[in-house]
Amino acid sequence: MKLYRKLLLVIVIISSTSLWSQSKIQKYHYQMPLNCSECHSCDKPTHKDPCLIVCPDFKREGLTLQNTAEEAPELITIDKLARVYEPSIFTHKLHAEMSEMSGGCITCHHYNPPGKVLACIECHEPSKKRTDISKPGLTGAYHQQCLSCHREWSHKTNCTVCHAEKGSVHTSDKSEFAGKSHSRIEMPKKLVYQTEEEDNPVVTFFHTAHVEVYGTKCTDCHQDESCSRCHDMVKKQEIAEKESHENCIKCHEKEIDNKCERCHDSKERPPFTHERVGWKLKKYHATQNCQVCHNETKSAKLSKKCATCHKNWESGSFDHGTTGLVLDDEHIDLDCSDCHINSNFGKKPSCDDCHEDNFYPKMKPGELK
Amino acid sequence: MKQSRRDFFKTAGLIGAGASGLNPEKAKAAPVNIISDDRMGVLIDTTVCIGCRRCEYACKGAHDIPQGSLQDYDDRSVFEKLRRPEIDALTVVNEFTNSKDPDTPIDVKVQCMHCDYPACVSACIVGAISKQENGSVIWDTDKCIGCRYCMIACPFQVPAFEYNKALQPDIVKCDFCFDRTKDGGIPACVEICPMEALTYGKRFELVKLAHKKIANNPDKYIDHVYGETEVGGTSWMYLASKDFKELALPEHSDEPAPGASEALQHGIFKYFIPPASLFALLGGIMWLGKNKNESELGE
Ligand code: SF4
Repeated sequence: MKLYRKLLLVIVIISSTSLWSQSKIQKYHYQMPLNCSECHSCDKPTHKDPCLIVCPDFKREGLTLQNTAEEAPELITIDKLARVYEPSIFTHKLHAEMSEMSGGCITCHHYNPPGKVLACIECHEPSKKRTDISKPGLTGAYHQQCLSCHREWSHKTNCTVCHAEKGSVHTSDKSEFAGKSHSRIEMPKKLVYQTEEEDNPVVTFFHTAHVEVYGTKCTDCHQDESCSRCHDMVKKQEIAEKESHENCIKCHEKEIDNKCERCHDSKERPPFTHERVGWKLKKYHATQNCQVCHNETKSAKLSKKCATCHKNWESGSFDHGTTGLVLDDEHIDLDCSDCHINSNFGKKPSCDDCHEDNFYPKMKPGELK
Repeated sequence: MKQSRRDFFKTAGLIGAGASGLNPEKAKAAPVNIISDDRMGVLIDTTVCIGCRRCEYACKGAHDIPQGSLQDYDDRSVFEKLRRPEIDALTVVNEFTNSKDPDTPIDVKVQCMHCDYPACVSACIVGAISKQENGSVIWDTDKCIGCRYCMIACPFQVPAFEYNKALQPDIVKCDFCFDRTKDGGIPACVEICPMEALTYGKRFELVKLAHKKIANNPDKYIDHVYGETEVGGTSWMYLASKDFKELALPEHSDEPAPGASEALQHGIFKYFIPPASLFALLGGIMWLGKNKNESELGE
């Protein structure tokens, strides 16, 4: 009996410590690009005494938020400060969605200790008579966040844009705010830029091709987008003009340095086709994103040999049916190179490479699909 | 508050006595200029201010000036003209274009800077203005004789003159909400500012904060804390994204404004006895004359 108890105790201890260490290990917070002193006030923080600084004040690149807009609460009622006006209903999820192209959750949640998304009030004091002047109080924190965009695109700073007058019915009924989402952003097919380049001023940018074929994610280019880019027609134009090498450089660094003609032309260009590089894509390949084959250096020229990409094609692991030919029992166990001489899969094997008898071609090495 | 005819004669008599050298000790009201290490200040971040003018609204409320409705302050057409503090607006906000981003103009709140070496304190011939321990530069309405020396002395053109009330010749300016702050309150404008563009705190901490903000956002701010050293330092200080000259904040050296280090009235008493007496006399005649007109109108 005693032995059992001891055993049980040991099991409990082992499992609890391993659970504990697991949860710690997941966070890896010490690997984040921070100095220890940004979060800990003492030199040697221990588990017992981590001497954590409450809400440290560091730049937002410090930690990132892993959450997505889907996980965000939909509506948040901001009522902590409602004295003069009715509480504001903040369409949190909608804003989280919109932020995906303008910096993400960290635009507002700029301090994110592992494990928990902090609300503004956890760091910013509601009292206007602040004890810590290094960061704005709650009112300031809210307004600075909201107005940095709202002011830009609405050109309005009137309180009633967000706050309903005290006593109006506005806030009790939230249905007006629920279920809203940002309308789908229509992607332009192509954009033609007139640059200041003397010889070849025209750059044709195939937007849909970049997204659908080359696999560029929206956020690869649109990271720091401001709402006014779309919601303010005056500004829209100006930004488009400013658009420069900044976005392109991520993929086209080499060309920007010395191959201007790669993008700049004297006139508008036709879209890219794979045929232009000497290999017309058919069937399966034509449906793939560029990265599927050109994964490392995106535009690097690849050998036409199938094995360059299809490295793990071996007899037994490869379903020959995908090529349109289901191998029969006699052929299925052969080595690939028995038919595809020198593993040159680009060349269609011929029966007489192996067979001299004249019963071919009636008997195929399998069924055509 | 009101200075009666008899009170005026008392003040005039005092000046006269001082001027004629009869009892200089009594006339010399040594200017109060306390520079406490813990003096308070306000840091104005003009990159945060949105020009909502709520500070103007709150300021009026705190100083018994008719406010109108809050909505009146949404009128942005006032920004078409550059405004200065007035008797009925102790603080005003001006707006400037932002060449970097035309959609977010730069708004700059203007009020008394509450200098550490206030030229107005030294210029005041009756010692009506004082710099208090908490940093506020305030004045005593009962003492003010309306000579307007402070207006001329001020390096920021802040004090306004109450012309309309001849019975109460008075200088008017931002008093850093002394009535609120002396009991631990915060200035009315700081309290209302929705953006918290105004940070109220100990001046030395604000200076540190200002430099930290600049260091953390070198692209956002120019490397200059206006008021840190200008005219010897001011309690109100500014951060901005562009040169302060372009925001109508005058360029000043680090030296306190001329005469700020010495008490002007003492100089007058010592070396310019006849002009000072003459001024007092002329002032008295003017005052009596005005007062007569007033009473004639009233009767
Ligand atoms: S209340 Fe604040 S944000 Fe509004 S104008 Fe005054 S200082 Fe600027």
